[in-house]
Amino acid sequence: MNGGWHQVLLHTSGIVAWIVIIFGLIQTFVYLLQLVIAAYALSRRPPVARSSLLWHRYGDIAPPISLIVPAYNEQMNIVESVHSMLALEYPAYEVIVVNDGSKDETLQRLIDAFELVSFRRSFEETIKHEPIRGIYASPRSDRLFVVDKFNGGKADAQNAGINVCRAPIFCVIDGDSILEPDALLRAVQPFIEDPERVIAVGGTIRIANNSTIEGGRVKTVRLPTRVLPLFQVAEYLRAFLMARLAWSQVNTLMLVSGAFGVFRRREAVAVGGFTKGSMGEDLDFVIKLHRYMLDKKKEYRIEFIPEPVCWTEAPETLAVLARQRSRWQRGALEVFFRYRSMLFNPRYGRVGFLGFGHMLIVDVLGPIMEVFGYILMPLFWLMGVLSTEHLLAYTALVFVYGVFVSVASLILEELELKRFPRPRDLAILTLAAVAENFGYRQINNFWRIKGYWQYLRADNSWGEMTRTGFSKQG
Amino acid sequence: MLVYIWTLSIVIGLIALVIMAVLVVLRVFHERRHARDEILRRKLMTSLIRFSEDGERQTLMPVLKEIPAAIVADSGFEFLSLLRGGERRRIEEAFAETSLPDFVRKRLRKGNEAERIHSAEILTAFPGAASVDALLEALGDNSRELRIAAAISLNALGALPPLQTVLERIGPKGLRSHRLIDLFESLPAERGNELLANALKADGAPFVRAAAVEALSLSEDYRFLVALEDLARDPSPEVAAAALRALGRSGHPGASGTVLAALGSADWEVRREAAEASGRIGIVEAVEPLTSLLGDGEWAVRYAAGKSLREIGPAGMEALQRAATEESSRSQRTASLILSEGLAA
Repeated sequence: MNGGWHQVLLHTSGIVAWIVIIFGLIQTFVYLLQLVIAAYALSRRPPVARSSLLWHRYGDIAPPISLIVPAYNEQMNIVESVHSMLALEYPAYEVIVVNDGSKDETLQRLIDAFELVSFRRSFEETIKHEPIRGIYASPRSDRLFVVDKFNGGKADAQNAGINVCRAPIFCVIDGDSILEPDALLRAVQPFIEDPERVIAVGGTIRIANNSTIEGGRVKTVRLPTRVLPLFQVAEYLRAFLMARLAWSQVNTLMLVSGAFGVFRRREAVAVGGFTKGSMGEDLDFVIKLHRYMLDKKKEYRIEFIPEPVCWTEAPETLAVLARQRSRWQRGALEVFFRYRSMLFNPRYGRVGFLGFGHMLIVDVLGPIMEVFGYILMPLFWLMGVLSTEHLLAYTALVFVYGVFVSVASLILEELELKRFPRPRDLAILTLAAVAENFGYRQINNFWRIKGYWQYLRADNSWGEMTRTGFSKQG
Repeated sequence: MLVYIWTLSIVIGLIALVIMAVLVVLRVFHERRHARDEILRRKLMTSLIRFSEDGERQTLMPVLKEIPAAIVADSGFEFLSLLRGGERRRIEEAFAETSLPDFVRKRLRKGNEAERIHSAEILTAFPGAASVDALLEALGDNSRELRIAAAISLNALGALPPLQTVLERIGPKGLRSHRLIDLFESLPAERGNELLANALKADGAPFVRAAAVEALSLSEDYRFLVALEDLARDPSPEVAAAALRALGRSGHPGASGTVLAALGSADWEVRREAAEASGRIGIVEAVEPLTSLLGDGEWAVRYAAGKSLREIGPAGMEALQRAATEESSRSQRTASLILSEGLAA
């Protein structure tokens, strides 16, 4: 009898082990595919190093852009951020800061810093949002407008900005983002080269912790000194330089980060703007754009540029990072299930198969399978029901391929962009790229499981995002 | 198979780490070279600034010959982009006496895409058969952005082949680029007829035709007025809208009839351009149709109509004020918004 149970256990553990390994193989294959596509994309069109060239090339034909900055309780960074936005190198743009009913001094600090006065600007409420209390303009800069509205969340504030803006293209960024001076010139390039088809463009976001920021600009680039933001640098490299660049090459880019995204207004209005109350409003918005364009059978492109365009502050404590990652996971699940009819639907072509297939593997099943593996595989091995070969294969998939993918992303960065200033930085980042696979990645998956649980319990709280502020940092 | 997964992961992981280690070492050398280049770059800049002040060629030439062509191509031309006229020409002539033109022409053929595009742009500083030949060859490059850049440079050198040939070389994909507008707008006035031929080409791509119309409008040549009026009635909304924008830009009262007719177009972009043109030309007869457009279904049309009523003068303002005091309606809201726009009381 015991022998029979032992056989069943052996058989079951073998099946479970193979499921976990095959799943890991699929995930690894996806990452390797992304790496190859990203390498091809970077070698085919190396980025232009100097922005003066871009100005010379596009200065006369660059379309007007509205920069929309939703701000909620951003008193710490908002003035610095707006300064950096007003100093961008771009021929025709306006900055629309949307104060989303902040409880802190965000609006007052803007009024004081830019001598804002009440202003009447006609616009149409094409997209619904919470009422606007007032619009302000600055006598010091004809580029700056501040919209003060009742609180409705980030998406709601962005929608108000889309309504108020007049340019054919708008760029949404976070209130705490610091833009590269040539960010718009770089991001507008796809709109100039293919104006009929390009409807959205994303760019690389970098982590500014420990860098020196003066006058709203990153003056000296330094790696973070704390371990958590350092791991996030390696993580961001992988996400932006590899995953997003690769998917944009096959026109399957599913996410243009909320920290920096440029969109054509016409399509944004047609899809009803950002979905209010969504945990992953940026992901939701891009998927809506895909769906709209594919439903209408229109040719379109959603592009990604590998050049760094924007800097952001990464969470420095486990608690804040955990909240952020759980929220991202909830957002991904919410969007995946909201648009589940697109999954493997031939009507949506590559987006349905590749884009949603990727979400299914990485966002929906990924954390569950990984965490299952962390617990079951060593347990089975210790119980003697799993061979050492199985355990080694699993270890390879969880740790060693992870190291390869992280280091390979760094190789791509160094070969094509060289944005980390010192050789020492590269060495440190290499170590971080290796180390983040041993512990950090696993903790991340546990946070994502927490996000899963919150999603199932329909917990829609954002959690406080504690920031230390950019001023005099470094 | 399971062992292979493990072995392969170790092998590729190690290879990645070795490559990274090599890159870190290379970066050390790169930093040293970069520091040396930085010193040379500063020396070049100092010499160029001094030359632009005193015009002493004997001092500049040895420096230009000493500094690697790649640094002069990148930094020297960045400096050059700040200059105009005789000052710029003198430096270009000095550059032309070095090995720089050959270097740039070589890079146009063999550099990466970003370098090739930049090389095409800076070859305009070195007129002559060799540069023209290199740029003509570049019209057949794989990169469409390079083909467009080459065409723009050929035009700057006064050596652009017939426009139709160039457009065929650029190819249909490149004909979507906004850079095409750059090319069209830089064409000399005497080649306006080529633009017109492209604009009138009924089977041409609307984007190209509209770009040609834009460029024609910038020429401010009234000879094209009649053709622009015809184009404002084109079945393609993109072309018609561009033609109406051009007519508005011309400010010519002769176009009033065409603009008035376009105010009733079925396409909202055409109506918007017609509304804007009415204001720019100052067509008093447009007051009534513009007042009707204050209630248009498209916000952009309503806004353009309101703005134009303001621009037309007393008759337009009177119509706006009247609309603003009517019963609540879309027209009334638009008129009120337009009248209240600006600093709040």
